[in-house]
Amino acid sequence: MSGQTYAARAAAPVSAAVRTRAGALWRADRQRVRGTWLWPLTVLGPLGVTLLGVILFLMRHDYMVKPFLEGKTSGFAVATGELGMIHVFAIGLGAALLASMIVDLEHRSDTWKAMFSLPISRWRTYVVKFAWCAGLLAVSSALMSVGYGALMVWQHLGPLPWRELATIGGLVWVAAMPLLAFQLLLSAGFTNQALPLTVGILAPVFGMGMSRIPAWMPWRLMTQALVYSTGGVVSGGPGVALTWYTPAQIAAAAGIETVVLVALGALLLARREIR
Amino acid sequence: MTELVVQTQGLTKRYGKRDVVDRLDLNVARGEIYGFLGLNGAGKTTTIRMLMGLIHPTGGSAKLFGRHVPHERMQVMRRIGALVESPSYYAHLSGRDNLRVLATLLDVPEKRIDEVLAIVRLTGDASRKAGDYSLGMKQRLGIAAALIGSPELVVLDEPTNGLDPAGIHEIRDLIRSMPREHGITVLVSSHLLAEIDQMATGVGVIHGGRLVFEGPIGDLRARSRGHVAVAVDDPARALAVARASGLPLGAGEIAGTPEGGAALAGDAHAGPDELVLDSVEPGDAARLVRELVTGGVSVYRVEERTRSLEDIFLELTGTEVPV
Repeated sequence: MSGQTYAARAAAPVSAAVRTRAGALWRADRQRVRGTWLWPLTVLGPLGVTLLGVILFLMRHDYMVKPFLEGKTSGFAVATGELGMIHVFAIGLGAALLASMIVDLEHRSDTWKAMFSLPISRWRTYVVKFAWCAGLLAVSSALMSVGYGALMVWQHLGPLPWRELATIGGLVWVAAMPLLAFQLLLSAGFTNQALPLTVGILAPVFGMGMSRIPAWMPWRLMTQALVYSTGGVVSGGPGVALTWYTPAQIAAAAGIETVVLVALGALLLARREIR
Repeated sequence: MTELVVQTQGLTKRYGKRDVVDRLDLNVARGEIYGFLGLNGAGKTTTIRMLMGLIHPTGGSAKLFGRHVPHERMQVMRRIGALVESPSYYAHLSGRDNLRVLATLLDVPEKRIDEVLAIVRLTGDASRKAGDYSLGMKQRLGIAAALIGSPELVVLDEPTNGLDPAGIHEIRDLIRSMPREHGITVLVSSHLLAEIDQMATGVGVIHGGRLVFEGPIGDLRARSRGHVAVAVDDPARALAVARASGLPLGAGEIAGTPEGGAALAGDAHAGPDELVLDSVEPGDAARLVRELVTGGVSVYRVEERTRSLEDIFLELTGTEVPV
């Protein structure tokens, strides 16, 4: 050991109020999630949906491709027609699982108390965890678009519609943000993840297809994003646009809901007693 | 004047109708090893959690390095390392990676990880998953985590819980070396008096949420000096004779008599009809016996008794010894 005391060595950073920067929080979360199922899940979700598409094409090839060959629909509509709803459900489920896993790391290891005994802002910690989940979900969404593209290439469904592929991945991801924020709020609030996960699995099943709940609700918002992205294919056939919101409205609603829900979650964590 | 690193005034935490911590005035001076002693459930961990800003006090105030917590916690937490209750660790990460997470958050260089691993003697096991560590190793990892930011104050909540004797010895040596070798002030809580006795320079005893003693450990030890119990046939007469002799008598003077009360408060071993001499000087005991016999009191038995620190702790906390 050097002769220098801890106090002396600590003096430099102590001279000014030290706050952990968001970048450090981001890097710390990257170190924490290493070796967990967060990354594999991010890849396995879209891979699973794409493989399901492969199975569907193998089993029902003629029925699925026929409208395209007859010129009644686009190749993109063929690729997304059967898988679209599964895609949205997978992203919704992914949001619930990622949110649960990232905070359960802290719940399970009882590390909230160790972390918040450091000069760490609680609300920043929460926001960074949300950002991590949003980032992972963005990777999943991008892979989902890649999956559609791969199916189209494999089935010779015409040239790749880059714009539509980007829209379906991007818009569903944007619309998933309120759901992610809601699930993170639940997962951070409950040490036992049974309830958040039950809600995360069941609510999309019922909520995404339910026309009775308001259109701005997180689950409906995701369905609307899908309907817009597929040109109404999913909701009742080509050309039938049943969406109420434009992409700008979807983005605006998602943005407002996300900010409110993330702020609420951060506030609750900041005020929470860590026992 | 000695700088107070930790200072609480009337610190209170209420859950429902129960004051878990009740108007606590705690003072920890720089360079001290402060033993925070109390039975399980006395309020030690709750106090430490309030100091760390993890829970909010119902009343009173707490200052660390002169700054109020939790309001100004951001300004002081960089100077503090803590192990609150059980060690926290990510089971899927190695010991080194666990410390790396903290190093990233505190912006300390990688070599500091090696230093703290060496301090707690975990270098050889640094690559193993923390989930596979023994309890003692997890505890040492927790202490390494508390030290990684080169703190000026280390708060250790029951650091030897669940350790075997060798582990306890090791942690005790480590704590003792902190002020001496590294200039660290240590606040260490325990429910074991013997443990605190062996490492603390100052001590605070908490019971039922209230601080019942605070001072140098020497003051606590001074209370353990012995006394002489003299069994007599006529307690009232013996008391009069003894008072007239001017010899120092115990706090209650005579046990089992209405005017005497307990021989010494909390002295569970004092029997009835015993006169208590608050001195172990041989001359004093001899003189008392002589005075009693001369005064017509029959002396049945003269016995020197010492009180262990345990007895004093039980006396302070008002706890009965199970028979």
